[in-house]
Amino acid sequence: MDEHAGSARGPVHASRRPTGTDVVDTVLGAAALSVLAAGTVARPATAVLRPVVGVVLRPPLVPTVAQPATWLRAAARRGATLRQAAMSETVARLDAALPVVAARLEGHVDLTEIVQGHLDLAGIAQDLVTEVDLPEIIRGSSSAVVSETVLGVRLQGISADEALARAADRWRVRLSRGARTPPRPS
Amino acid sequence: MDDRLALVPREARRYQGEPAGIVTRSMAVALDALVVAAGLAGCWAGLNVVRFLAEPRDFQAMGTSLNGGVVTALVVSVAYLTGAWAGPGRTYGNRLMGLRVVDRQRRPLRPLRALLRALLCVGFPVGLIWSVPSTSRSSLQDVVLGTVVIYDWPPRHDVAEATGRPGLGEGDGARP
Repeated sequence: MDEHAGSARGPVHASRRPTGTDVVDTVLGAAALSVLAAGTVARPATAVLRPVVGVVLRPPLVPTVAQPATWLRAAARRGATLRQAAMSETVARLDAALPVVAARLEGHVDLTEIVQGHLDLAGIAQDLVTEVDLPEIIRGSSSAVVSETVLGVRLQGISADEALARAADRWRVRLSRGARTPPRPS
Repeated sequence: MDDRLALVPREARRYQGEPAGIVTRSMAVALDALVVAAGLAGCWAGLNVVRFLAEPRDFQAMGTSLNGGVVTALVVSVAYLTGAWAGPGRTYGNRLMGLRVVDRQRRPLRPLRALLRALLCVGFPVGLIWSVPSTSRSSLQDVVLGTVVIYDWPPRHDVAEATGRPGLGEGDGARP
């Protein structure tokens, strides 16, 4: 660990013989340097070459059919079609092969034994129940339907109570007005 | 916002702790009547099963007389209402309709007051109609015994604390 850290932070000590790790580090460092240099050079080169490439791909006074860009686009379309066909073919072959492979594997490997020997199923189930809080989910989902109905009935009851209360209020107001109106002289 | 009120739909929150009207209360009463009827029928069936198991040869279903049935139903109703109001503060019908019976300070009823209220409700059920003209939605039983039936959808009883509303003794007749 320390040895690796030392080689990463500073030059390898002259008295020590280079190891395989040092060689790998050196190669990686050189590769990173090359990528950096390529990026540095490529950025201005791209800016310079872009108009040139544009002219080459779409030369003026040349019919569109005869331009290299048109040929490239046609080639790209053909490539895309081939890629999709190859993908479909691969998926179809995999679909056909997988059941056979699985059947052969089943015959050679005892999955039950592997699972029983390497997995603590009881512990996983216990953790799952503890984490998920299954009883609460079951309670919530089973009571959800009931509670929707109950909530609807309660809200309708409150609405009816309010409507009746408003009617009673109007009736009280009418009664009090009638009591305050003086009787007409006959 | 209070955690209890978070469980209540938004449109119903402002009613929590307010006196309930006759429609909701009547529905709760009907549900309680069904509960008592179902309980009595279950007891009758259970007793018959026991009798049948004890004497299968001489078994005859227990006879039912109208007077005996009515008296039993009344007694069971009083016991059921008393237990429910003195205990959790609500019967099964109250629970379904989101109601709770409390005193004017929004405290649970004591057993004696719960018993008196149960007797009055069973003996004079039409007293509930008084809650229509009453400005505080009080039935005759509520007026006599100083009780209130409130909307209380959350499960526990601390509506006055949750809503921050005064008890009826301080703001009688206030409606949302």
